[in-house]
Amino acid sequence: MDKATRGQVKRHNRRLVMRALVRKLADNRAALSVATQLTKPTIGTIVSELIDAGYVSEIGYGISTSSGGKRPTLIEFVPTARQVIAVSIAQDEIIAQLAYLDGTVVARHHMVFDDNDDIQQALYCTINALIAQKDTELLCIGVGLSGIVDSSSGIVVLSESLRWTGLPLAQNLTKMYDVPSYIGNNTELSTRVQVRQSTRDTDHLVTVSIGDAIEIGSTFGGDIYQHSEDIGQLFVPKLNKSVGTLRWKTVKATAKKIIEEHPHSVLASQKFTYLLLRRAVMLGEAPALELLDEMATILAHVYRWIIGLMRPSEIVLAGSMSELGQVLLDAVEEKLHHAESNRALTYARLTLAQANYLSLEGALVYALQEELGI
Amino acid sequence: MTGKIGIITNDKRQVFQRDIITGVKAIVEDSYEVIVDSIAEDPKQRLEISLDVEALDGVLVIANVLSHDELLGLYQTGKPITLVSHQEADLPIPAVVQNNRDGMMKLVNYVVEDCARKKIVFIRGDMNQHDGQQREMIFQMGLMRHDLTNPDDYNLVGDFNPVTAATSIMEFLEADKPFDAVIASDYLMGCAVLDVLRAFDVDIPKSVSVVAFGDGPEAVDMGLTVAGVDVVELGKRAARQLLSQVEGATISGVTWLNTELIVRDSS
Repeated sequence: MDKATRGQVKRHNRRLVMRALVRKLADNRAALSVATQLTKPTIGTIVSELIDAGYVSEIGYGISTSSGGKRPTLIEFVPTARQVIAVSIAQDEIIAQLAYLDGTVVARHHMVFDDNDDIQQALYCTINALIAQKDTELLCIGVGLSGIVDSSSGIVVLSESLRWTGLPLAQNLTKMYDVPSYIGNNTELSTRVQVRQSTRDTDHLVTVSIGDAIEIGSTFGGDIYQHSEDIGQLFVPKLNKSVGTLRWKTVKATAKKIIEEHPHSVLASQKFTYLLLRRAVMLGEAPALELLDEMATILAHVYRWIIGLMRPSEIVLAGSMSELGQVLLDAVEEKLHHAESNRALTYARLTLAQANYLSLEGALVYALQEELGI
Repeated sequence: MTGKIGIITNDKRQVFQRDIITGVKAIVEDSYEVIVDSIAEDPKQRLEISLDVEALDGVLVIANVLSHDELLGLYQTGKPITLVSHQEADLPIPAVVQNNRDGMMKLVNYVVEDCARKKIVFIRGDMNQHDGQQREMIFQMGLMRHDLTNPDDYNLVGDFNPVTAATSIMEFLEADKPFDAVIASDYLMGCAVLDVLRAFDVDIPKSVSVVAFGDGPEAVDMGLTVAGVDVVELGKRAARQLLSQVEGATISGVTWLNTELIVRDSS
């Protein structure tokens, strides 16, 4: 194995210090030395550099030791030192946010595109809009998208929905904006956020994201992240339908048919959304219950594959379909209980993604991890 | 470069418009002369645009003061344009708006979860404006997320006009229907509603919580709970977007400014 270069060691040490400060494991140089196991001179050099760069500030003096030693100079991480742009590209829209290093969002930007638009150009227009709003130096850009992404090389291997193949997106962004850029798969990025937000054991968490694309993201041991391809092509023999039936466009088309046949349904009262479907289900409308049942049957099938293959501790439903809420999960769980042993089900908790903009948050988390190690 | 920025608004004397203009000036006044065209101070007699657009570096348009065709005409001049608190779906003109989704969801979640309210009266904005339509849509979505609905007669006319909102809530009180919260589509209407409810001796916040979208000094004075962006800040951010375009950046889509929930005496 090659030896780490001096530059790599320095970068690693700097990340250790940043992480300790962000997590408030230490508030002075001596405590940092203990928390990071780095020597005091090394800590002194790194902290000086971080102060010069604006990431750390001295905020006063602590209490002297019982033996009457010198009072330590207190230091803290400055979350407003830089801003980060995080972007999530979906089937027909781009959502992006400008945030400080602690995740505080300053502004979001939204752009809709259609099949004829140059999506990379739309991405630049979105980033330009947020650059116009930045209050301090931009640290980096993180982008999430549907499809197969090689995060380490920054290349979009294949994104059918965006019609990108072998696109060096991270490199293009870095060239355009002169800041480091990172890319990842949306579902994998969402999984990172789920792990971070979960208060429970998330040793092996799987996220199923269902919107225009149907993807699976997973984590093993809280550190390794993987994403699947779009699994919409997989077939559910029992229903003679593919998993792609759960795509938002397909569900919307089915709802349209229901509305035509049942013009007095609550589904006809306003623009169709999963929340409206949930309301129709709560009101006990038969066509809505039927649609929910079909969706639950397919989703239970997907969950059965996941449980059988991966035995996760938690399966999180994310994407626009999660708006259907507990009513969908209850139906899925009931179907799983018919087919699976209780033991397998007890092992895997079924939950709903709690936050909006999950992949956007994930793009931010990923970019910060890669750039600063925090 | 002409060193001039234009602002088109309906009435520069109104609180919202005045604050936007203040924000814009704070950003651009060092480098640009700001020319304000206030074309509908008399709503019955709207004037034509008097700005010489060709002699400007860029134009800010506040709310829905211009029709679609007028905006199209402005866009076709090729000058940088930013819409403030308005969007025109089929025109690629960028906009800066308050994040209606974020703010309305914060209000609904707060009223339902923290205040434990279920019978909520909604004061609508101007339904000809994007903000009015979107805030009502998100209010309804927010209720659905909590598996709640409100009857049609709990959605009152407000038109972003405090006098209209006050009249609507008075009529509602006269009808003697049960309610335990009011969510207003903007803070000036919220202030008017709060005034009426206090005048009618409604026990606030014990019996009824009153909250509203947006924030300003009037809401602070009245102790109104809000979720919003400071309007002066909205003006500043819009100016930044316009300046960026003037400097050559290509921008399209909508920038949403995040809102903050500020709990005061009314809830």
